[in-house]
This record gives sequence, structure tokens and C-alpha cells, in this order.
Amino acid sequence: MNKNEIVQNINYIKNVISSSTEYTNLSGKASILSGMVAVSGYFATQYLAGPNVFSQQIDYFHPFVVVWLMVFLLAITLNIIFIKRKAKTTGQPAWSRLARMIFDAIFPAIVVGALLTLYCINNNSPQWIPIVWMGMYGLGVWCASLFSVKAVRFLGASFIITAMLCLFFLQQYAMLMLAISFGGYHIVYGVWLYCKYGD
Amino acid sequence: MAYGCIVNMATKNMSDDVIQLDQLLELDKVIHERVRLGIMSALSASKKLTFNDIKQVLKATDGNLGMHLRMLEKHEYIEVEKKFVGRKPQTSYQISEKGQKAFRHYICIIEKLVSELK
Repeated sequence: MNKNEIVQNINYIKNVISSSTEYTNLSGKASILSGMVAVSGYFATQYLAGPNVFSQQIDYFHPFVVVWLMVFLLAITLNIIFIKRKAKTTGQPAWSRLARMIFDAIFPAIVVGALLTLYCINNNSPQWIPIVWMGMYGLGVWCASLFSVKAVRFLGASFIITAMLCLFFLQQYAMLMLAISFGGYHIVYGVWLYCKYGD
Repeated sequence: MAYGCIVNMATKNMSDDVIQLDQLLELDKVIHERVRLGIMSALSASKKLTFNDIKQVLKATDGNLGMHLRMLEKHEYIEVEKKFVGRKPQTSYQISEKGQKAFRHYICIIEKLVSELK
């Protein structure tokens, strides 16, 4: 066995291990676009419901709810499209064992987030909704990061920290923080992902 | 690391670039093959993988992969579990204790070889 062969063997082992423990079909572009959608969602809410959204009575058809539900659905759709596209170029299937694990990791947090949102709307306490969203999403992303690259964990942690800052110190800026986190963080993370892994 | 000293002895008087270690130091023939090395690496990183999981990671064909899996099974390096998911049969694989030892030994030798070559 010569030097080259040994080094090749080691690289091969490293690659196999990382591709069986890290999901790498995440798309930077999708993240950037989702971030932009979230920022637009923020401005749409400001435009449709005025600056003091949470001083109003909120029901299921309030612009705040409708706009952000659309942001959520649009962001998911964008991610699915881009992940599928990337999977084609990397040759790794989009819906693999790791993708299932990521889904399982993020799913409970999203469900609890949705139920807490319903509770907040029904009990006329909408001011907590942004904190619930940032906190729950952050927890979900943190769990998902166990099956992907390190950067995902930073994203999760940023959301959790922002939610807690918002809860204890910046409650009156909750709406703005929503735009900064779901918009800004995703754009920053997307740019980083794009620079590091491409696409 | 217990095997380190053997490698050390074996490599001491060799030329820098090429080492004919294979005879001196059985680099485990069962593992020392690309697909089987891949299988062992993947299984050592995850608890249990199905046939399709391994196929996706290694990008191998069914026949080829099946052959190598059977060989590893024959040497008791992996444990096989067959069950039905709905109507489809599903085979999953797990590294055995013997396999784990062998894989660690293999890595140990490779590691040593690299440090000797530096």
C-alpha cells in the first residue's frame, strides 16, 4: 500500500461517515429567499395592521395571522424546491434517512409552536406569539442540527437567545425582532451556507 | 493502539514511499476493500442502517452491495435483521462486536501508517 492509497482510504472513510451522519442538501439560496419573504411579511403586516399589531384584538383572519401563515407556507415550499434541486446535483436523495431524522427532530417543536399560537389567539394574548415562534423554531432547528452541519446549530441558538431576550427585555419590539430573526438571521445564514457549500 | 508496536517494527526499515506491509501485518482482507470499508465506516457511525440507507450513502448497485454485505455477514462483522414493513421486506444491518474490533484495528493500522509516512 503506498502513501496515496492510504490517504485515499482515510478520505473515503471520512466522507462515508460524514455523509451518513450529516445532511448536506440544505440550500443557502432557499434560506436567503425565505428570509426576504419574512422581511416582506413584516412590512405587509405593518402596512395592513398598523404599527401596534398586538394592541388589537386578533382572530384567525387578522392580517397578522394570514400574512405570517403565508410566509410560513411560502418558505417551506421554497425550501422543498431548492432542496430537491440540490439533491439532484449532489446525487444524494432529498428524502433520505437523515432527512427523516431532521423532520422528526423539528416536528414536535413546530406542532407545539402552532398549538401555543392558537392558545395565544384564543386567549387574546397575541403579544406572546413572536416569542413562541422564535423560541419553538429555535428549539426545532437546534435539534435538527444534530443531523446536519454545525452552522445549523448557530442558527437554532440565535433564535433561542433572541426569543429569550425578547421575552425578558424587549417585549415591545417583538414584531421587529420577528423580522430581524426570521428575516435577518436566515439571510445571514443563507449567505454563509452559499459561500461555504455553494447553491 | 495495542497494535501500534507491531506496525512500528514492521515499518522501521522500509523505504519512505512504499511499504509492503500486507504480508507482515495482515491488513484485514475482509475490510480492506472499497465497498466493504464503506459499509463498515457507515455502520460504525450509525447504530442501524437499512440496505437502502447504505446504498444511498455508498452509491453502490444492489448486486454489488449485497455481495459485500454477505461477505461481512459470513465473517460475523455485521448483524442482519430482516423484517416486514407493511408488505415490503426490509433488511437492516448493525456492526457486531467482532466487527467493531476489526474496524478499530484496521483504523489503528492505517493511522500508524500515516504517522510513519509523515
